[in-house]
Amino acid sequence: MTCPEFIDLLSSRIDGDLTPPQRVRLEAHLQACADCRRGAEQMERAVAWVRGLERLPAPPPPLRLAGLAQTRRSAWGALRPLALAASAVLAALLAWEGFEALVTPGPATSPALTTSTDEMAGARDSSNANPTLAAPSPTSAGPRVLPAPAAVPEPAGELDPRLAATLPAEPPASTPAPGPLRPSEPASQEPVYARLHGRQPSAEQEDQGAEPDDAGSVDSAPAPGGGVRSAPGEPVGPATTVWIVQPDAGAPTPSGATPPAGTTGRPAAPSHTGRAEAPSATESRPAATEVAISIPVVAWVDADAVRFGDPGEEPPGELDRAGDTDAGTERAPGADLVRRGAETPRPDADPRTGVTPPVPLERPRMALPSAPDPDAWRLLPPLSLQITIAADGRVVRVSPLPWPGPREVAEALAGAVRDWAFLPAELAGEAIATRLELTIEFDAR
Amino acid sequence: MASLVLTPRFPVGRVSSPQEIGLKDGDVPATPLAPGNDPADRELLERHRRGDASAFGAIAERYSAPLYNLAFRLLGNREDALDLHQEVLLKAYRSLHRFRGDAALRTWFYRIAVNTAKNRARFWSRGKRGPTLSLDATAEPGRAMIDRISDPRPSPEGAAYGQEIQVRVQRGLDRLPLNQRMVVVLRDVEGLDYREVADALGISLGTVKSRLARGRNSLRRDLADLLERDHHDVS
Repeated sequence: MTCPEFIDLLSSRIDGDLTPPQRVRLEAHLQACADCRRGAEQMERAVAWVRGLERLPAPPPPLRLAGLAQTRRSAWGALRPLALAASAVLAALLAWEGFEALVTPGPATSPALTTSTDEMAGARDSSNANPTLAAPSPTSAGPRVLPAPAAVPEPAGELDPRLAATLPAEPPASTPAPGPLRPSEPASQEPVYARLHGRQPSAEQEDQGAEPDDAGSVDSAPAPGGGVRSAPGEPVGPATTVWIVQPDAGAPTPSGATPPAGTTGRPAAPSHTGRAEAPSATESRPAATEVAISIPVVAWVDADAVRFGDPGEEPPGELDRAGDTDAGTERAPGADLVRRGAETPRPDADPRTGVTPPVPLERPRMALPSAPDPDAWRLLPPLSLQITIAADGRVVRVSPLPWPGPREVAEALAGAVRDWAFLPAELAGEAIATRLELTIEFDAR
Repeated sequence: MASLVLTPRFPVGRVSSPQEIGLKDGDVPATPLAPGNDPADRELLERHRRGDASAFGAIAERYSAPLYNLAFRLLGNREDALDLHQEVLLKAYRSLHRFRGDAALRTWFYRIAVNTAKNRARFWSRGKRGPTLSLDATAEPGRAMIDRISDPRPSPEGAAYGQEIQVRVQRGLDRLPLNQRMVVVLRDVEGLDYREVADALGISLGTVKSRLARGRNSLRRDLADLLERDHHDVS
């Protein structure tokens, strides 16, 4: 070896990373070569100087993290300092005051939105509210059919633990078959999602709908965000289907299995609470099939409104926004939804479960609640909502999943999603009610 | 189905074995402890995923100073370091939900930082920003480097090494090519091992070693006069 080759080994020598033969040869050379010996000494000292460089403290002002756990009354209002700072394209010092505001708001762990404002207020007050699903009312609970966990196909590493956590842990001793999804409704060639969409469902329709747990907790309240209305949405691309729980006989049905005879052919929902309840003879609730589908959505935030679209899609331009209608206007007529539903390409069915994922057809824009700086929105981490889509395409239930962002934002978005219309999921050629996850990522332009 | 197992509270700063953290036979952690992933980090991550708004503040507090030091040693001046530091924390806040714990959180933060720094270097190299602040900062006449790297309250280490050494070492780092500078800073300033450096930069172990050797050797040559003088002073 030559001197330059030995010099190349000096760095590894400092880290003790030489092989024994390399070390023996290098040390022998250093004994014999004064230049290399001096080089080795100098490199050691240079590295020691680098390692001894002064450590700078965290940027001033120091973090006041002790107060982070507090929940402020208006978390969204507290976000404003951050928004103002961030609007300077993050070039200016983003004051820790603002950052603290960003992370200070209480967790958006409100339970599912309900028709009762009292319930919502109660949920806000509950610091330990179940973040994923509202507890069903004992009096309104329908039949619950729990699958055998061992039979659930669960691909490793793909199942979101939050969704997985909603699965029941234990199967019931006996699992009665659920009632048909819409027992009193005759078969129709017309897509029901179009017929029912656009008006408040009556109690009878609710019973005919696909709400699984408790019809009484179906969210039919106006969106807290206030702004809904008809901006045509584009279909979201194929979502990721991981598994499905087919609770017909109390156990999940493997992919491709046909529903058992004696039912309408539609699967019913398992309980999300892990509780098994026997159905009464007079009360037969519809159910939703829980699928591990995640629908990605991007939210573009402008000065006055939030618009929804597909990831990778270009944000709407001024001309596109001209057609936006504001809160209070009529929704698109059902015929338009039927047409768009027919024109919308279906994503492929999941090969394991046979479920064709639902596709958003209509995603009305949402007015910005309390109109904070739009930049504050763009800094938010993605929000995941668990939604239940009835077999008619309506969204019948929305629950924000745990989220470190402001609760007001989560509730406003949940209210907006409540007014979306979907091309419903299908299984074996029939529309089914589904419960799935929707993830809204905020545009970070 | 295994329920989520919440990580108990541990002493900060070391990785505990499953026995140490109180797991019994049959207990299954939600995710195995990744090599080098601090249990305290895992607990904070778990809290963050549960929607605890205070968890990210605690994470940011843990990594604020290391990230700022990394940014400063890479960029060479406080303004850009502060800017980078804030951007990294905001990026982390927006994307922490994607962190699955299969790498150390520290490495994940460093990776965001070096990628952001690389993007900025590209931005500067395209001439969109005018004169480079970070690399040429030490050549600015009338503005001593020490004004920007020293805290008003000098630490014992800073005094021991002396102002001139601090300035010259930082200048030497500034003169290194960015890919060598990143390796040297991560290894010798931040104290990452070879594997962590490789993970943070997304390069192989062999590339880490070769870049480190070249970077250290360049630094040695750059500091040769000072090293000679120091040698004579010592002897």
